[in-house]
Amino acid sequence: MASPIYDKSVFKKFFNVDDANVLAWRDNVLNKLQGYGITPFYVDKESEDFEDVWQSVSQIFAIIQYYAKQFEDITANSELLELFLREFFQNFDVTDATTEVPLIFADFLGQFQDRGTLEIFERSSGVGVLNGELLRLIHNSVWDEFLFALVQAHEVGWTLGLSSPMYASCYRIMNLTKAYEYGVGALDLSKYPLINDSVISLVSEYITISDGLSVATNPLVVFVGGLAPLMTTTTTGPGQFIFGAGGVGYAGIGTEGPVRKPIVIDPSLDYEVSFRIIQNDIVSNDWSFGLRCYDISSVEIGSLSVKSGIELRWFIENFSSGTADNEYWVRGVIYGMDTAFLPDNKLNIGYGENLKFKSECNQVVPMIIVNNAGSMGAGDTVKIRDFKFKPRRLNHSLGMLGARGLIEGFIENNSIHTDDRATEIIEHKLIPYNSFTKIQYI
Amino acid sequence: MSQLNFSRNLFLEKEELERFQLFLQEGVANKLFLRNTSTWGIVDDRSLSGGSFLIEAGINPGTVKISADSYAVNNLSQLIVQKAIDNIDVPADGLYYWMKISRKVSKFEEGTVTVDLNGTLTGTGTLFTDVLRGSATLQVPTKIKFYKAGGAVNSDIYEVVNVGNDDTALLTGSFTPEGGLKYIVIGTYTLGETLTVTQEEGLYDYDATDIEYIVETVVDTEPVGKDPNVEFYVARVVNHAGVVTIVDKRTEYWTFYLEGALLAANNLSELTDIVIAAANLGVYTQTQINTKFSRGAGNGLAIVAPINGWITGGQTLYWKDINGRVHLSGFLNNIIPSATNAIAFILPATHRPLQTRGFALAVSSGDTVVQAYINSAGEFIIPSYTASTLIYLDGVSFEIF
Repeated sequence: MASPIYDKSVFKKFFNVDDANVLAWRDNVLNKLQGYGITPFYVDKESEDFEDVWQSVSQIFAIIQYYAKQFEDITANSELLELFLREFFQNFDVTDATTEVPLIFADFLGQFQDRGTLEIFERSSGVGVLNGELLRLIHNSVWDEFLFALVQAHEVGWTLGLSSPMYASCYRIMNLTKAYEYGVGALDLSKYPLINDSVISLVSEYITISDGLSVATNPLVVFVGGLAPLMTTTTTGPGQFIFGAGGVGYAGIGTEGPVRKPIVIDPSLDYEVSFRIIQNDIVSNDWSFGLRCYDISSVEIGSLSVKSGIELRWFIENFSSGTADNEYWVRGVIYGMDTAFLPDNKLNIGYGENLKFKSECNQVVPMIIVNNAGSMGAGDTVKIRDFKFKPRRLNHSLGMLGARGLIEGFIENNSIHTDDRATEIIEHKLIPYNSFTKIQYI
Repeated sequence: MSQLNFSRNLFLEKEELERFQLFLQEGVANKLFLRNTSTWGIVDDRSLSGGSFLIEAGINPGTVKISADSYAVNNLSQLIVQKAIDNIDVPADGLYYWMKISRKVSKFEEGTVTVDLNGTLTGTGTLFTDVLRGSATLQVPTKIKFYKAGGAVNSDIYEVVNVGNDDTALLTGSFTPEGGLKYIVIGTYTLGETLTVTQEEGLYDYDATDIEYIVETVVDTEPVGKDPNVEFYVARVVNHAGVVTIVDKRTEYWTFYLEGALLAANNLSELTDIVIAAANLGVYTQTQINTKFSRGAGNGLAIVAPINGWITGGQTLYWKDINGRVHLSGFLNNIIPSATNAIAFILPATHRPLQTRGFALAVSSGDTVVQAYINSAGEFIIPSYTASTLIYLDGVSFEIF
């Protein structure tokens, strides 16, 4: 039976007008009305009029009663549960209500406790564990760029040697480091993807590549799908990743087989890749510095020269530092996919070319490969430290005096909220009261 | 003083810092100092032999030089600075030129440099530790570029790897060995940014001097067209086949108002001349005092010139002591006493009392004394005395006021 008025009411969200529970309650009440002691004797309880009137009254009360009953256990009603949670979490917005809402309700107080802590961007460790509230707010996925970095007081404003008001570089902001370690010195080799790690060791906080390079085996096929070889020093065939002649080898930071320790990026952002390098022999060996770019399926797609637009994976190839035993700081930039070509572009060291993302790129592995050109002698080493992968710059300069509690963000907002609204929620609900944000929405 | 109101969380950018710099430049002391300037021009630095912007013949034929660091100030309160410089070419056409100076901005750092194949930078007269910063010490490195007349071979912008000392540094890049280079500090910019033309011109603006030759049209007459108080002539020069003739034409000097307490010495520069300064101030130096008031011959001591038949032994003297009191000594004699010749001598105007002073003088015979007095006209009068008797002046003294 059609019930257009009921269908427009608030009750319709919970049950139909002819819900069995409603009808049962109605009939029960109607029976009692027709029975002894409730209505006067002179009322004809068997008449059709009586039934019509009191059945309607009973039904209305049955609807109200059953509606009230819904609140006895809100977990049984997803809509009520969501409404309830929304009262407490103005930013309540889930990607999967079926799985997330019960989990949030179950950890209702925990959600409040997590606010103002690192837990807000803690990623789910598995089934039954929620992403942090901030990640949920922006509907973050593992393939989205996400940096949410508390900036230390000395990293902003004017601090000699560390920060300058009109500078916009991220280099000195430790928490914006995406890989692989935060400090200048290397402390843990296991954090790096290494190639031929048998000749790589950690010496005085330097990643040291020694003269044991000759143990490597050639050739190694790394590329498939007809892509150009990474290096062409001694090429024996297309798609081969070969360093030096047979019997000599290569080693370094990077990956040559399946993707290892990839860094998730957003192809519209610019990133800086930098490291410091010391060679004690600039004749017998050289090094190459590049980037391997992959799509979301971990298929290598390469990158472009920002100078010419040609396919290019190396910032610089087969290069030796200008002098031995001096530490050179090498900094490459991989520009966002929308960057116009820059004809005069070079690395900071005056050689090489910076790169540019292809639009499909979603993850990268930086490459620093030391190549034994054939005569690397005993005691020859190449030492690397201070490897960093970070956004190239902030979208504002560091010109703030004594700013404390500043949080820099690079965030992809996939939620229904506007960027401004998302920022408002983050600042008012998720971070400590004495913090503020500078978020660059991608 | 105008100021920038610093506070926490204040965003400071280019505009704010430029204002801050302007406020420092226009500080109270600086503003008052400049506004009290009387005339603009060359700073007459007396510590330099010949002063600022003294033009002399250069070492090479046909050139001139400025031997000492020189300074001038224009009416925009800008400093015109010229480090000592030699071998400034003079047009070799036999014409007279006037050398005109004005302010310009220089981007060059001090000294010259040589770079080798590996990027090792060697300087002469350079101050690398003041202006460069290398990456090897984990600092944010500066970048530089080179300049050479006719174009430097190494024409890129280079990043500093490390700075050894004021004369040695290491750069990174591709180099061709080259010497005689000037260098310009570009600074440190956010990685990957394309530098603007202005940024590529250099980080620092240094006060410098633009030297211009203006051909003379009327003999030994300053050419017209000079921007007054902005440009200043310093010399008139001519180069005849490598022989340079120089005429100093520095006439416009920077001077400063000094009013009030130092009126007697309204030009303190005269203090370098002791005689003029002492005269301005109305004082004597110790040397002058010793000389002026010594009783030695010719040192302020004078011989009385007797008149009216009076005679002396040639050693009748008068002088002033250090307090200005006039003293007499020696004797007088007259063989024909008379009322009309009572005036024995007349002292000069500097040694006369304002009012008549009287004395009792010892004589050579008997135990009598004679009366004498001197009036404001300097007339020393002995009204009555015995002929041929010596009258002694020793002990006579009087104030002149």
